[in-house]
Order: sequence, then C-alpha cells, then structure tokens
Amino acid sequence: MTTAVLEKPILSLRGLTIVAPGGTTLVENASFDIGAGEIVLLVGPSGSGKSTIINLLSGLPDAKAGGWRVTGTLDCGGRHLDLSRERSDVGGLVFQDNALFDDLTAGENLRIAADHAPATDGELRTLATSLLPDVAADKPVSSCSGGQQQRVAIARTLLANRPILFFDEPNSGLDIRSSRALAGMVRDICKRMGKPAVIVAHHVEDLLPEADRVLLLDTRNRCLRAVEPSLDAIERELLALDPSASRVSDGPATAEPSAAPWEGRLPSASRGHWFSRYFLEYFWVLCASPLMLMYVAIGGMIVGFVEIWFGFNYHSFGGYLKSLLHDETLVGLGLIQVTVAVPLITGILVVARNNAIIAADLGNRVLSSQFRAMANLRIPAMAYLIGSVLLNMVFASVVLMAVSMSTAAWTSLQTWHLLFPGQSSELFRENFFRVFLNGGPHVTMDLVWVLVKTVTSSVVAGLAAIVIGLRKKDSVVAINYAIAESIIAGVSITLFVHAIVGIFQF
Amino acid sequence: MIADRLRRLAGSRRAATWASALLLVGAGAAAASVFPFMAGLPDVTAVYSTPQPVVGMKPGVKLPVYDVQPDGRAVRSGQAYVDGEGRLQLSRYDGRRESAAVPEAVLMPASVRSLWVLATEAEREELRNTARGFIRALGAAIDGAVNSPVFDTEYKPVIEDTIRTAATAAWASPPVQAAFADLLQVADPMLRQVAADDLRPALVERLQPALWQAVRTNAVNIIDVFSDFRLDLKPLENAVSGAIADRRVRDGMAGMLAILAGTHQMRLLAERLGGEFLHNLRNDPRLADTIGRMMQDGRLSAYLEPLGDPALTLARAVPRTLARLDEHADLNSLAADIFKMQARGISSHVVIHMTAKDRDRVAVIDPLAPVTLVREAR
Repeated sequence: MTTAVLEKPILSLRGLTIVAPGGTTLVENASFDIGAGEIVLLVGPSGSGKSTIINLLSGLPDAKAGGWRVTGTLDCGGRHLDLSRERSDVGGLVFQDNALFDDLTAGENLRIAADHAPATDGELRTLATSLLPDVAADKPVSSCSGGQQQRVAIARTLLANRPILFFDEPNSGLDIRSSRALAGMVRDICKRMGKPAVIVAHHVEDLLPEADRVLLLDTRNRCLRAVEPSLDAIERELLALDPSASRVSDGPATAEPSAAPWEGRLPSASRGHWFSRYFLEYFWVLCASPLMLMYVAIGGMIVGFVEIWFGFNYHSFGGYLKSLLHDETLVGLGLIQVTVAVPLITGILVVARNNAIIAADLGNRVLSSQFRAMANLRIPAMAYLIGSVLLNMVFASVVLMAVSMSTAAWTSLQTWHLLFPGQSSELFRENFFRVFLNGGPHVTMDLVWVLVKTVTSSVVAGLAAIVIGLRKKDSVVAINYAIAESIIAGVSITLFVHAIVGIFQF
Repeated sequence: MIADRLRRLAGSRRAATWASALLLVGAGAAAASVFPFMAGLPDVTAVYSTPQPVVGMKPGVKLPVYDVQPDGRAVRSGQAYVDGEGRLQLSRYDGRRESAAVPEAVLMPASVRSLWVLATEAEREELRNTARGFIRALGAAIDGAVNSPVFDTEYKPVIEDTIRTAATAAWASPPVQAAFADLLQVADPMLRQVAADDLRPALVERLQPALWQAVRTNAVNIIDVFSDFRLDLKPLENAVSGAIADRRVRDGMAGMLAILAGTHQMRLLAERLGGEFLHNLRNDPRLADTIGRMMQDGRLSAYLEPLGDPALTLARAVPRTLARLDEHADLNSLAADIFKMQARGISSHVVIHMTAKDRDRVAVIDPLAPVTLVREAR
C-alpha cells in the first residue's frame, strides 16, 4: 500500500497504521514521501480519517488519545520517530475553523507563535506579515473578516516554523476567487520557504491547479494511494468509495480593506511576557474589572447593613435592653462579619461569577480548537491559561474579600450611626473589633482560618470550573451547560469548604 | 448623542481601568475610615490625678469616660487608663484635651447610686413617690396574706416549725454558744446555771415571733434600695430584752441581767443569733417549698393582686428615670456599663465630664460620691 517515493524527501512516512478506538482500521501499512516545496492534496470520504492523519503528524494530543492505536515510522529533518511511542511534531497545522486566539489581537496571535517556535528568522516574519497587508497588528481577530482570519491563521502557522505545513480544509466556505487566491498563496509560501504542504480538502477543483500530487485515503482498502491530479479522476475515485460524496457551492466573496504597516510589529517576547499577558487578562476579568469590584463591594455593603439593622432592630428584647446589650451585640456582629459572613458571602459571589467566566472561556477555547492550536504551536496552555486562572482565583479571593470586608464594615458603621446618632465612631470600633483589638494567638488563628477557607474554596471551585470547562464541547449549548454546572459545583464547594473549616475554626 | 458617548465610555478599557482604580481607592478609604488598625487608636489627650487616694482604683484598669449632654444624657466620649502612679491617662474620642461644654472631669463609683445622683430632681422625686407607693402596697399585701385563714391553717404551722427549728439550731450553733459564753463570762459565774435554765426557754419563746417580725421588716426594707439599707435587728434585740425581762428570769436575775442587756456581748449574741437563724432558714428546704406553694396558691394571690399596678409602675419608672431606657430611647452607655459591672460584681469607677454646676448639684446629693479630677500639665 505504498505511494510515491521521492529521491530526497523532506518527510518520509513508513508503515503507517491507524486503528480507531472502536477497532476500525483507517489505514494500514501506508507509506509516502513528500519533497521540498511540494503541495499534496489529501482527499477521501468524510469521516475517513484524513484530519486524524494530519493531527497525528502535527503532534496534537487528542490524535492519540481515547484508545487510538498508531504504528509506523517517520523520518523528517534528520529525525527518526517511532509513532507507536513518540509524538510527531513535524507539522504546523492550519485548523479548519482557524482556531485563532480571540482574546489576542492579530499581531499577538502571530507574536505568540513566533515566540514559542524553535527559531524564526526575519525572512519568515516578513513572509508571514506579507500575507496580511490589509490587517492592522492591533486589530482584534474578532473584527477581522473570514478571509483575514484565515490568513492570520496561516501566518501564525508559518511562524511556528515546522518542517511541513498541514491545512485542514482551508477552502471550506470560500468562494472560487478566494479559494484560488488561497491556493496561490500556499504555492507561493511553499516555493519561498521550500517547505511542503499537505492540504486536506473536500472541494479540490480550485486547489488542483497548484497541487503537485493527490493522495486518496482509500477507505475500502485502508490505504493511501496516489490518484491522477484531475477533478474527474478524483470525483470518480471518491464516488466509487462514497456514493454520498457531492460538491458544495462556495460562499460569498470577502472584500478586504487596504493594507496596514507591519514593520516592527512583531517584536520577540519571553515566556514570562506571555504568562503575564494571560495573567493580566484573567486578572482583569476575574478580579479587577469595575463590574467585579462593584459586585463584591455591593455584596459587602448589603451584609454590613443587614447585620447591624436587623441585629439591633429585630432582636427579641426590644428597645428596652438595647443599651444593655449594645456592646456585646456589636462584639458578636463584628466577629461574625469578619470571620463568617463576609468570607462566605464574598466567596459565593466571587466563585459563582468567576466559575461561569472560566467555564465559558475555556469551553469556547475547546470548542474553537484553541487548545489544539496552542499544542500545535508549542504554547504551554496549562501554564499560561490554567496557571493564570488558578493564581487569579487565589488573588481575586483575597483582594475581593478585602474590598468586601471594607465596604461591609463601613456600611455597618454608617448604619450604626443611623441607629445611634450622636455617638462616636470610636465606640463602634472599640466594640465591633474588640475581639481583634484584644489580640492574642486566637485572633491570628481566626484570621488564618478565614484565609484558609477563602483560598481553599476559591482554588477547589476554580479547579472544578477548569475541569468542566476543559471537557469536550460539541456546541455552544454544551458551553452553556458547562457554565451552569460550574456555578453549581463552585457554590456547593464553597459552602462545603466554609462549613468544614468553620467546624475546625470554632 | 449622549447615549453614544456613554456607550463608547462604557466600552473604553481606559475608562474601565479608571473606574476600577477609583473603586479600589474607595474601598481603601472605607477601610481606612473604619478599621481601627488603619484609623488608629485614640491617643492620650489629658492626664488627671485624684486629690486623694481612691479605694479600688488599681493600676492597669480601664475606665469608661462620658460627657453629660445638655438634655442629661451621658454619651460615651473616651476611655481612661490608670497608670502605675494612680493617674488617669485619658483618651477622648474627639482628640481634644477637654470638652468646652463639660469641662469638669469627675470620678464616680460605677454603681446605681451614681445614676441616682446624676438623675434630675424631678426624676428622683418621681422615683421616690413610685417606690413609696409600691412599698405601701407590698406591706398591705403581706399583712393581708399573713393574716388570712388560709395562711393561718396551711402555711403558718409549717413556717413556725421551720422557724423553731432554725432558732433552736441557731442557739446551738458554735458562734452563738461562743457569744453566749462571752456573755456569761462577764456575769457572775454563780448565775450561769440559772441563766442557762431560765433564760434559754424564755429567749426561744420570744425569738420565734421576733424573728418572724424581723423577716417581714427586712423583706420590705430590702426593696427600698434607694435609702440607706441596714439589716433591722431591733425585733431580735427586743426579744432578747423581753426574755431577760421575763417573769421567770426577772425573779432571780433581774438586776444582773438588766446590766448585761446593755453590754457589747449581748449585742453580739443578738447579731450572731439573728445571722445563724437566717442562715438556717435559707438552708431549710421546707421553707422554699412552702414559699413555692404559697406563690402558686390562688387563694393567697388574691391578696397580692393590689401589688400589681404599683409593681409595674416601679418597674417602668426605674429604667426610665435612672437608665433612660425605653422602647425608643437612644443608647445610654453609662447606665449599661454600670448595670453590667454590678451584675458581674466588678467594683470600679467611671469618669464623667460635666459642668461645674452639675458637679456641685451631685455633691449636694451625695458629698462622698463625686471626686473632682485634677488635670496635670503634660
């Protein structure tokens, strides 16, 4: 089951066998070579495993996860890999849905790829940015047109500087003109970089003029074999394999705006820079945004008001004993506010909101293949994203509790002034914080317990949101469910942790 | 136009950053204004000394400080700390050395009596009248109950027996016997046997009603906390005198015992006998049981009914006049602190800033209560 063999191949694959988790063999003992600057179209019926092959060669973790069995050897750039044991990282993959990092600008999408590539020279950067004459470096990718997003994705993959380029259905949804322009662009890139490209495609007519060879994934014989690079021959072969195969019309053309300068817009940055980039992004959204600050500040104010107002106005002894019980009531309310009420209410508020954000953010990244893209670009998603999320959950829990504690105490003082006009604030402070002013080891322990339950509940709830967010997502509905699930899990964990720590604390 | 601007402003990251910064500054300011470790504890604003040593003012003790307002309310205004030299390091909440409106710093015992002397004359007169009414009603109620047929037949025998037992045990108790021995030592030893044989039955016979009378008198007096309360042992002294004057004793010993009746030893005997008697009464479970049954006896409660209104009037008047407590009253820290210290058995003092006129008025009511503090140069 062997196809073309070149004299000096860039990539040489031998004896490739892929068995799906259910036991179905997608391809058996296949071999092929790809030479420098060569463009190979990989065609086959839908669901035949074309994407699996390029995912495998791009080193994506999910290509070998979940019970897939892969054997064979791969030689590329002087390296010899046993695919049954080693993960291939020779391919840079352009995803079908582009998998752009939508929290970064177009320029940052390119920079992060370049900064995590083994080495990128000026020529490569020039080539990458030359694909984007009409895109400003600081333009959010969500503001780019479909064509622009695809070119940003291609440029980003180029900057990863892998020996071979893989394109997963790059012309899906493009009109004829755009599709042909894309094929020309790929040809130009391959020629200038001297790198080969493998394009997985269903609609090949616009790509064929630029293709050197066509490989068919034969689902009947479970092999890769060369077919004549003509539309008729390909369609004949595909129809023979899959009667349902049909051609789909292209989408509308995309108008592109004028060019923007890219000179000097791709400076190198360290991993520390990118970590802090993601850390600050999550810091803003999980901790420091005005909405978040107002949210917990108001929560604290409500706790502070309710405690004092109802504590003094609705206790069972009425107004007669108000004076007699005043000091001790304040002492009790102060202790409860600092050690129980504010930490619990703030914990619930923070976890409910942040867990929703985390589940939505990670779920979106899963659904749009951003984690796969990060893996392909060798970007440490666990450190950048998960590390940032967890650190910010800890940071947010402490900072926001301090904010909430401040507003709660301030509101308690103002409410107390409403109830007892003419009294000095010092009288309030003396009693409300009496337990803490008296000092002693138990005060330190009380505050340590508060810190323990606040941080613990935030970290555990954050982990739950991360696990829920990272689960496989098939649709937006799945993200919605994940959001609801992470809120319930986070709040339940917070209540549980506070209850357990409370038992030890008191 | 404005809506567009607001929308642009809301979407601006710079505006959002400024908003967050302002919110954080606001939270910090709130914390600084309320947390004591940020706002700081009040410094010592003045140092005072007492013109003469004050009993119970120990170094290290913290005393609350109040300002008397023009309407008579006492508002907490700081705290004082007794230093090693017995001086008062006073920290006013407002940071001033003294209040211009109430410049006189006065040290007063933390007792209900201080509330009494600080009350206005009208308040004190109201309370006196109310207390008198209650005491009159109480006396009438007790008299009615004690003279009722129910009490006479069902309770009196038990109580009398309890009293008899208590009196007998009191007489036999070592302190009373020691006092009696002292008494006898001052008499002619020849008369000891006569005194023991004749005096004891005569004394026991009289002590029974006398002690009962003492219980009643003291029960009424004990409620009148606003006058100088003293245990009234007059009935016991009368009983002892009566026993001595008894015909059986008088025949042989009149002259001798008449002299003894005026001695210190005789008074000591009466005091110890009374004390032991009351102690025995308290520890006799029959008395508590009998009183409990009396309280639940509907036939006796009819006699106590007239007591209800005066008791309620007094119960309402005391907190209102002394502590200024009622349903809508403002905080009265002075009364609260004093009540709490009394309830905990803490003997302490309070510092009250008042006008010179108020201080003089208080001194007229109770010359020993207020101690005018002398401010020292710092």
